[in-house]
Amino acid sequence: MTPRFHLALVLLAAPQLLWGFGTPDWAKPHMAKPSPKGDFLAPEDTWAIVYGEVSIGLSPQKRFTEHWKLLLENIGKNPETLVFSFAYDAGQDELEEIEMHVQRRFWHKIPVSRKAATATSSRATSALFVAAEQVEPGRRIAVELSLQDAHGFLPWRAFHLPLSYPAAQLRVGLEDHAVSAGAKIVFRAPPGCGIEARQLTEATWEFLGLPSAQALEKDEHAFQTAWDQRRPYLLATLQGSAGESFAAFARYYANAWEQAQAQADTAEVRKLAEALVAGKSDWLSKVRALCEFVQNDVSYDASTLKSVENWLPLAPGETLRSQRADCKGKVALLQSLLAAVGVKSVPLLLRVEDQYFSWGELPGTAFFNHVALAIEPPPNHAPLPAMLTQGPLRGFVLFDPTAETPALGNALPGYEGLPALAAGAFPEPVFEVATTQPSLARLVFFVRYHVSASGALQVTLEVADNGLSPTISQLLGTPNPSQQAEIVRQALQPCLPGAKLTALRIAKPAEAPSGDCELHAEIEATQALTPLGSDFTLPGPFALLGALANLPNLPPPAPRNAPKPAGSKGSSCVTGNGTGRAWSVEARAEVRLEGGWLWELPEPNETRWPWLSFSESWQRNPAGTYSGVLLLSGPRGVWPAEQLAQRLKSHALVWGRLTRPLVLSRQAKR
Amino acid sequence: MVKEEIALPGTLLQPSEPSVRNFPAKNSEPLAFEATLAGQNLAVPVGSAWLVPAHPLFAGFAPELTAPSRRTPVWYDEAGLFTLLSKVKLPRGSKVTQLPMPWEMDGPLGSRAKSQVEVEEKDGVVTLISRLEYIVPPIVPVSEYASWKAFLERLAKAGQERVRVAWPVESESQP
Repeated sequence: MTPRFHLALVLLAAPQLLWGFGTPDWAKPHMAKPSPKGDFLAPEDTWAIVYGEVSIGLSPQKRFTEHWKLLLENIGKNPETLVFSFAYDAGQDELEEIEMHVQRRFWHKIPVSRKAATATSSRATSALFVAAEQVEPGRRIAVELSLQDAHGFLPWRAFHLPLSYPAAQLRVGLEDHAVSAGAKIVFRAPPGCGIEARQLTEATWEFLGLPSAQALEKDEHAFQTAWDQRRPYLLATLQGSAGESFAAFARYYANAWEQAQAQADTAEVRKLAEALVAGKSDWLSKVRALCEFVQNDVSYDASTLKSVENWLPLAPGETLRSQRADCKGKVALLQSLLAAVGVKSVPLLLRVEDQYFSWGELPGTAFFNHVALAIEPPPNHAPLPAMLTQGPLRGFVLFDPTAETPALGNALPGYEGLPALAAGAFPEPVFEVATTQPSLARLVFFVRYHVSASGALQVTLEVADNGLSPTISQLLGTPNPSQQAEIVRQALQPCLPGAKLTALRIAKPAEAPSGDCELHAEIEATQALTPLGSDFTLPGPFALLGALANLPNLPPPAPRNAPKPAGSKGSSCVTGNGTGRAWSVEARAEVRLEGGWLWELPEPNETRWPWLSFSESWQRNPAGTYSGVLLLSGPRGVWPAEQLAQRLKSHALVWGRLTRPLVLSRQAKR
Repeated sequence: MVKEEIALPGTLLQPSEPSVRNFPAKNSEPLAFEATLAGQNLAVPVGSAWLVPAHPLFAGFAPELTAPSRRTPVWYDEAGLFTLLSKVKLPRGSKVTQLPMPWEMDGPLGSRAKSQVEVEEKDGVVTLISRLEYIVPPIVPVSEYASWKAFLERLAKAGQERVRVAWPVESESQP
């Protein structure tokens, strides 16, 4: 399979200079259209599509092709440079030829360059940039290009709207020959999305006044549903192809995956696998050694994301040489290593997002974005928390080498309830992830407060996290101890400004007893108390939890969390109110007050909403200390949009509880 | 875009896009903006009372400087005297039971800070009036980094200062 991309033609036309010289025939009738105006244009838009056409066709190999015609206008006040970039595998000579050809023909400088990014394969992540430089305001550019095999081997073409530029008029449809060959196109528009669409023919749609993607995305907030639940898209599929059912696609994908895996240098992989498992006697320790290698020693690298073959992994030998790979590359290498020691595993296609989504009825509407692995344990192996309890791979151990916080066997962060596709010949390959211990993004937190008679505060923090806290993930990716300390100081600064970090230890999952990432910190704050009349306030111990864990969906009120819907023309487009990952926090606190400090214990509180459960209780111990327990959890789910304001309020209330200071008074005054 | 220019030091309240209230005719005149501030948890219950931030515009302030030392000076694009004046009207029937004491402190390079919180009662309406002033030098040399960092950490305490308020019985829900 050799993916190809053809830049068939690039034509530039500035009406006053090159009219009639380089303007393609299709653009001439549209040149007279008025400049785009209307509220679909955002103030920051510099380019607008005056008229656009996207024709989806089929190659002789039954791959989807695209033909683009765009008439763009600089609607800004300054000269602007227009750049198109595509994944492309052209050689340098070919690019120079294109550049020379364009300059000779159109008398216009068009720099064409090849960007060899930090690619892990010579064939991945080459990019072609086509630019028209310094186009004056009001001038127009006509662009026409063809894409062939631009989407690799995919048996569908999902066409996301809106585009990067706002469009006054855009037509998207199938070419006649594609319709005759059995291609069809479906259009999905969530209710209330505010985008005006009309069907011209059975296979052609037209959009008027389409705002740019950036104009809609700038108001994203954490509680919205995923983009495809809010925005329109078109999906082209071919009758009888693997794009028509999940089972067919699971087989098709598994075959393509196996072909990619066949390029593995088996001798090299086997040698490494044998070295890694040397001295390990049981199945779990052997497999763990292999998993830890891929989890820790192969760094994540998404530079192949725009590659034409971005759905398939790099060959394991390539990953071994570079020690860099994305999720697919990591899974492919791990699968090869496991196979080398006789362990079977199956790739799982997933979609992992903080925002809620649901798969549609076709594989093309699932919008997969992640690959993990299900590993088969030996018969009658003792249960592990991450064992799948349903689906075609029931009993397999769910593992994700891209997630660095849980060790093999531990529940994964926030995978519970996610739909998954087992790549292989399974009659029912789609299932919902459920593991022996629910795979929640989970954080276990313990904080000890010791307030001396002088008011100095000593804090001990113990945290175990399987992937809920971005701060802990950041710490894992920062090997330098002084940088780690800086990250912790910055996280704690809003609660305890100027506090001294006297000890910090980070344990990777393989080193930690819990099998999750662990953190131990000792903190001293001599100025922690703030006077309040004759009393003092002290940042509450659970405020450190909020600060350090950077809890998802529980930040202080901020614009990105405001209930401002993203919609065309500023109108309402909230079609849901959801959470993509199930999560939980179990926090305990111990407070010791010395020197006659008194603290009025807060009342216990337990509140439940469909999206959030919260409880907090405190007690005074016989030894004079205080103990507190705080439990927080949120399921994966979607709730009516009308409840969004209520939801935000509930989160704000919990945040208020979490950050509530302690009021301390002196015993003598009572 | 103007909103980014007038970012508040605190995080508790978020401003809307401001509108210009007074455009200066002369260089000596100030430019005045008007914006609506929104936030939640302005008051949190503690026991039988509520705690209200003494300086709402500064609440949540966290100094950016956390490294123990530095090799290069700190440059501030926005330096000079900052005055944050807040007036918070409390629900009718509220009673302020504890206020932070006024304070002043000096820092390096001519910096200083001053805080004052007062209560005004008029026609049965209680208003908290707070004023926080501080001076930020344009450049902090490496030799003064530690003392400037310590000054900011003490200043950050102003963001944690609270007023204790006894709420009227009929409005026990969070304001």
